[in-house]
Amino acid sequence: MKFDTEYKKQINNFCESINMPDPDEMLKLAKARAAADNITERTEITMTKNNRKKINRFTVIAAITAASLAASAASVYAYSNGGFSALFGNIFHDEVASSLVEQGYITEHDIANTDGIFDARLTAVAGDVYNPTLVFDIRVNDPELAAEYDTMEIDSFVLDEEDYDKYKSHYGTFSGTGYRDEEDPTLYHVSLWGGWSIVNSKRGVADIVTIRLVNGDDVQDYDVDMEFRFDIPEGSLKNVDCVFIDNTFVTYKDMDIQLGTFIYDNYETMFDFFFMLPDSYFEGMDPYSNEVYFKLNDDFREFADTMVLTVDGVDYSPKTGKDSTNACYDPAYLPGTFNAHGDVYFPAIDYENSQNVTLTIDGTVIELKTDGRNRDNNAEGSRWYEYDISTTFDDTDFKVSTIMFSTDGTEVTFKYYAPEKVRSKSYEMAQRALDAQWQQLLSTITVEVDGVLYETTSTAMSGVAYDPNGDYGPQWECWATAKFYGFDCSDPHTFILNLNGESIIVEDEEHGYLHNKKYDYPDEEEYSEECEGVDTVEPDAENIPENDAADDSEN
Amino acid sequence: MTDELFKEIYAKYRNTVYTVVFNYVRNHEDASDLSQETFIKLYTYGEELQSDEHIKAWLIRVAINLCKNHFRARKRFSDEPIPDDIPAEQTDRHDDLLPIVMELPEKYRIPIHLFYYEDRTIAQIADALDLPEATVKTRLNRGREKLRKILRKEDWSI
Repeated sequence: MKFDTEYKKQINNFCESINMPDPDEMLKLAKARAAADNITERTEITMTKNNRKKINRFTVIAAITAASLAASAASVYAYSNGGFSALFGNIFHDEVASSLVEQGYITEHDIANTDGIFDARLTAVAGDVYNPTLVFDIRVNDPELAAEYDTMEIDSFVLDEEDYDKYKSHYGTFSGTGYRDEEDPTLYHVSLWGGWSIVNSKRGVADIVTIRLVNGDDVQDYDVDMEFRFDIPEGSLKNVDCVFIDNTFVTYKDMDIQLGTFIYDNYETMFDFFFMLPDSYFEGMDPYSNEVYFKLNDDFREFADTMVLTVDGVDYSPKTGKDSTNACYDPAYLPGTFNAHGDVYFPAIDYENSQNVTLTIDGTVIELKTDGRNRDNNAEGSRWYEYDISTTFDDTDFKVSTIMFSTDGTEVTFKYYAPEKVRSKSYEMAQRALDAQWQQLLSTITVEVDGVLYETTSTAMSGVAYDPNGDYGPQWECWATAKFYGFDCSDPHTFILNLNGESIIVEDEEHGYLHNKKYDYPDEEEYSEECEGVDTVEPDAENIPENDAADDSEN
Repeated sequence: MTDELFKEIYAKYRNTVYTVVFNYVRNHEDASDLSQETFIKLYTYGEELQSDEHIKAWLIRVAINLCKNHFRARKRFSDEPIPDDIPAEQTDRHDDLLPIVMELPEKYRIPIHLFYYEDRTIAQIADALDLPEATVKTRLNRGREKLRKILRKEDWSI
């Protein structure tokens, strides 16, 4: 029996049993009160159609640039019980962090703040780039209050400094747990996981907004505002690698699901999936209701249960805890094109030193690594060329950057500059506008290969990458890719790109390669050097992992 | 606001307001007074409310604030023993959800009610209660855990 259904039913029955004033009686009461209070000013309240679209475009994090793995030279804070390593190992029961600290991935800080009831001090940041852990010492200044509780929890923003200053309201908080010092009952050591929020950051901010004292069911919240700004020296957090997996789709319960990114860090292994939900999925439900979210979660957990990760003959099942998988339903993201994503977590594996790694999904085996070689996302014989094709759409000049030809299909990548009208918007709002614009252009794009017309197989992975700060190239540059898969496009006789109402002959038997700038893509070795060790195969912006950790953090 | 519009809003949201208030005060007398007070505030409100969703969020927030002020003024707490107003006619206590929810501490039962009856999102609940989202998530999780302990696990999916 579903709790929410029955609870609603019982509450509705309860309401029916109550004698509330009818609307006319209530109006009389309100008018009488207004007259008594001599209130005459009232403004119009309009009952416009509710637009509950909540676009929560995931923050695009640029591909993890290869940070030096050299350990920082930061000294280790000398706790009386044996330093930070012991603190993580003994108090927080975090052997991974303890090990990373022993390897030197820790930066000591001494940044103090107080709100009167509590004195807090940020003492260290340690871990890997996806799992930075902040350590605070927080003292309860009232010994009597401290004696009433045995555990402390905190809620805190953890963000890159610029994100914090400009876009704090777009993010959620993380929760951390503290344990009482064995010798000082007023002092708590608190460990706070910071998610992916400070990947690639040089300076971060932690802003503790709640301190919670807990003793069993007795929970007392204190609203505080304690801000800590701290440096993140290069290499002070251990690097984490990821593999971008292109062009891998599975179908499950009428959902087209695309495998996106595979990330292996020191704590766990994560696979990121993108869903294309058919309209029939929403039958009988309000697409914006929690009902869809619950259904999607249930389906996604079932989907996750079909998976096996195999590393050199050893099978791993997805983590089974309640937070081991999640599906984030994003109804506002252009329903019909893409509207959900989810992650599946496995235990940490030694991917670097493994020989053969496969992921089996509902019976379909996906090879991730074979005989020590990483999965080659691009079929044998694939080739890229640059072109000088452009089109103007919605006051924006889109330029075809490259077209890839392979035995699996083709990709057409565009580079362009964000239009002026979005540049003054916040990152999130600009991203939304750019995504919507791109999806409109994408709907005009088809390819005709040897006389057969193909429509795009792109999903949300074809969303726009946007660089408002010029971190990865020219400022305001955007790039996006239209993908067409499921047919041999390695050596077409004719290749026509239909774009924004135009038909552009890219290659044909008579003319050869048209518009081609004769650019040969760098070979794998050169490219590897360019990427400074990033374990990927192409600079494809869509494959950048998305940051939803803050939204989904569960306590 | 026209009289017709006010009546339309009242008809649409009176159950919402009443049940939110009742979840706080747990007696009909106070719930009735505070619900009416909420709609009187709507009638005399001087700002524009743009949408259904905005109106609903506004009503819930005002109702909650009135309840908090009610307890402050009377120096009472919403975790006092449950009065007799809670219906519990059904013989099988485990299927009688309202009194079970009402037995939860206020900090758990209000998010549980808003989440399961009003279909409020965590962000909306956080906004209504003026709490961080993480706190709401924590309270929802703890509230669910408590409900699971009381309800027969094999019969309920929470």
